[in-house]
Parts: sequence; structure tokens; C-alpha cells
Amino acid sequence: MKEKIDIDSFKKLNTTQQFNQIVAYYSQDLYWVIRPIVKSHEDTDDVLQNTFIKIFQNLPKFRFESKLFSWMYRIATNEALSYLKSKQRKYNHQNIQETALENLASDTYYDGNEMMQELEKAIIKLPPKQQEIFRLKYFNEMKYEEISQVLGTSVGGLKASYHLAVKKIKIELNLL
Amino acid sequence: MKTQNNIEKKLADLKESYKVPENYFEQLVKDNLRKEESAKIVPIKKYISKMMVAASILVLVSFSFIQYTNMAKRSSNQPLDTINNQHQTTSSSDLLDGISDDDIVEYIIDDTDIESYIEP
Repeated sequence: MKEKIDIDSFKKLNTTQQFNQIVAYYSQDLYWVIRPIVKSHEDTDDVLQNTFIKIFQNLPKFRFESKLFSWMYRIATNEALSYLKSKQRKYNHQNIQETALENLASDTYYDGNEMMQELEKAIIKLPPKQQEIFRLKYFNEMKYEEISQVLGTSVGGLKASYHLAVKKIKIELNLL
Repeated sequence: MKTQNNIEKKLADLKESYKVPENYFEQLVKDNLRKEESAKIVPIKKYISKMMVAASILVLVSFSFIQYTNMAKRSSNQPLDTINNQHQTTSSSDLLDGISDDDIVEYIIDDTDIESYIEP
């Protein structure tokens, strides 16, 4: 993902100024990293606040060895998974997301039909890496080249993973 | 191929199912922007706390040094006292040490002494 801010200028700012720029430019992107994981808007809002706190606390230590968004993406994803984990006694990648999905149907800010919910159920059965590709492609609307920079995987590898994932979903939905 | 396209279209529609409250992002930015004044205070607080730590360490080191020098002084005075004590404790016994009975007799036998001794 092309950085929305000029990194050279960004480095010269103090922590508060850097944080304000991040909030101004990346709030939506971070929101859509978190929302597909935790599902509900209220939970997303909570996790996003936690993510902002973590970013602010760790900005002085960030060395710009990776892309800024890649770093924030990791924080947001970890915070979202930790949030779900805290609601679940036994940690199982599919279980915690199934729990989140069960609550989605009654969420005020969700109006997906039954087909959409079936699709969601199929997606959460995929391996974590394939789910990440789906989320970045369809919720963050990123191109393969941008996803490659965030996940550190080659474009070819991403495309292969994506097509494999789509095949699994078709099997899950009995479309194959 | 048609099925592939159908699935991809449905995937593309996934995000549409998720709604966001109106003006949420605008309000989010307003609520989370931090004021620079608070950022200025933090370095001063950090500076004060660092100075306090440095001062505490300095006091501790100084106190330890003073204690050490006092102990060293006491140690350097002790040998003289010890010597004095040794001198006092042995001086009275030294008077008779090494002196035999013959020596004592030889000392007594003296004309003056005998004369004074012999009864008139």
C-alpha cells in the first residue's frame, strides 16, 4: 500500500504530531482491518481505540524498517484477535470468529442476507493467511502488490492462495 | 467460470453488508487528535524525574563514601591503641620476667644493705 504520508517529513515530527497524522489518514483503513475480524461496529470501535493507544505508545520505538501501514496493520490485527480471545475461554482460531459471527446477525450495523452469512462462515474456516488476503482485498480494497507489501508474501504466492481459497469456499457452499 | 465470477461478486459485496454510523470517522478523528500542549509537558516531567533519580544516586554514593572514610579512619587509629594496650598490659609483668632468684640475691648483697639489715 502506498504510504499516504511523506515518510521523510513524518520522521521529523514529534510523537504527538505523528500520531495526529496517523489518525487523520489511517483511521478508516485501520477500522476496516479490525471490523471483518470482530464483526460488530461497537467492538470495532473499542478495538480501534486500543489500537490507537498501542500505536501512540510504540511510535517512539518504530524504526521505519518496515512500512508504516504494515506495522499498524499488525497491531490492529493482534488487538482484534486478542479482543476476541478475551471473550473466549479456549483459543481456537475458528471458534472465536464463529462466536463473533453468531452475534453479527443481530448487529444494528449489519444488513447482510443469509447468503452473505453463509459466505462469512465459509471464509472463517479458511487458514488465517487466506483470510487475511480476503480481508485486505475486499475490505481494505487493496491490490495484490499492496497486499504483498503488508503481508511480506510475493504477488504470485498471494494469487495462488487466493484462488485456492475461492475453491475451498465453493466446496463449502456446495457450488463445486 | 460463471460460478467463479458469482463468488467473486459476492465477496466484493461483503463489505456492503457492514454499515458504519453516519459521521463516525469524522468524529473519530476529532476525538483522537491529541493536543500539542500535553506533549510539551511530558518531556519536562521526564526531565524532573530523571534529575530526581540522579540526585538520589548522588546522595547514596556520597553517604556510602562518608561511611567508608569513617570506617577507614577507625581502622587506621586502632594499631596505636592496640600497641598502647599491649605496652600497659605487659609492662608490669616484664619487671620480673627474665630475672632469676640469683640475680635478686646478688642485688641485695651489698655492704650498705647488710649493715642496715644487721641489728645493732
